[in-house]
Amino acid sequence: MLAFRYITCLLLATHSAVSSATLGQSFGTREGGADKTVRQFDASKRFIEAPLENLLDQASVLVKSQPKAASLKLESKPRQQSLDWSPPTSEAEQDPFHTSTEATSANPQCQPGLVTWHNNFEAACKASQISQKPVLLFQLLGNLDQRHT
Amino acid sequence: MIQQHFEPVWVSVRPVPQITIDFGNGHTVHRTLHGNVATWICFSDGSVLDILPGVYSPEFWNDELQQLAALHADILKQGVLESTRRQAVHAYHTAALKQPQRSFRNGTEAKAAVPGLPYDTIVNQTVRRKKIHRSLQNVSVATPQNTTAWLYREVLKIDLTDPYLGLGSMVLDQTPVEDMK
Repeated sequence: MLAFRYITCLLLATHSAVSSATLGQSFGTREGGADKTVRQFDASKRFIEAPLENLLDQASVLVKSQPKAASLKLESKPRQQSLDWSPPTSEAEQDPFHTSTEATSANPQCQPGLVTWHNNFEAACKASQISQKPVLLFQLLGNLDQRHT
Repeated sequence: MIQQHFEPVWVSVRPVPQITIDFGNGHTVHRTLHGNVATWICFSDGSVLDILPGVYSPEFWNDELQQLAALHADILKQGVLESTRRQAVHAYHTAALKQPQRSFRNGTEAKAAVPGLPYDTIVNQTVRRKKIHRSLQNVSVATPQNTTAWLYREVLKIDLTDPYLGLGSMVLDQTPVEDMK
C-alpha cells in the first residue's frame, strides 16, 4: 500500500514536472515572440530530476524508519522508569535501549520521537564511557512514549 | 543532533497529573494539569555538568545543547581526574553567572510578555537557570540522584513529595471538590 502511494506520488510529480516544462516552453515561446525580454523557460534535466530525487530521499527515510518503529512495538516490554535509582537489573543491561511503558486508555502510547533512547541512566553512562559523548538525561512528569506528559 | 552528540535517556520522575473536564454537552477536555521537564547534561560517571530547566524554544534548546556538548569535550580534554573536572565545572558555572545574558533569537524578547514558549524560554534561562548555576557552582558533586528533588522543589516549584504537587491549596480550597482517593 505504501509502495503504491510512493509510486503514485512519483508518477504525479513526473507528470506535473513534464507538464510544467511543456507549458513553460510554449508560454515562453509565445511570449518570447511578443516581447524578447521574457526569458525562455528552461526545462532542463535537473528540473525534472530534482523533485524526484527529493521524493525518493523522503521515501527512503520513511522506509528506513518504519522497521525501527515496528521493532519498538514488538520488542517492548512494559517497564516504568521512575525515581527509583536502583542499579540496573541484568535484564536492563541486556536491553540497553529504552523500551515502552504501558499505555492506558486515558493516556495512549505514542512514538517518543526519532531518538533511540537508552533504557536507563546507568546504560547511558556506560555508553558515554565508550563514546566520550555526554549523557543527555531528559526528565519529565509522565512518560515520553505516552501522549499526555 | 541529539543522537550525534549525546547518549540520550529519558526518565519519568512521577506520573503526570491529568485532568478531564466534562462540559456536560458532549464536549470533554482531557489534558495535563502540571508538567515540567528538565534536560540534564552529565558526565559518564553520572555527575552533572549543567541542567536546562523546563521547556525551551527548539532553536534555543538546540543551541544550548551544542554549547554544552562542546564544553563537555573541552573538559574531557583537560584530564580525567575528578578534581580537575570538578574545578572546570565550578569555573564554568561561576563564569556563567557573571556573563551577560545572551540575546534570544527570533524576537523572543518581544513575545515574552505573552505566556507561551518564548515566555517560558526567557524565564527558564534568566531566572531558573541562574539558580542552577549558583547551586552547581557550590555543590561538590551533583548527580541526578541527589539533585532531582531540589531541582523540582526549588527551581521548577513542584514538590515531588507532595501528592498534590503544591497545588493542594489551589484545587482543594474551592468547593465542591472531592479527593476520590
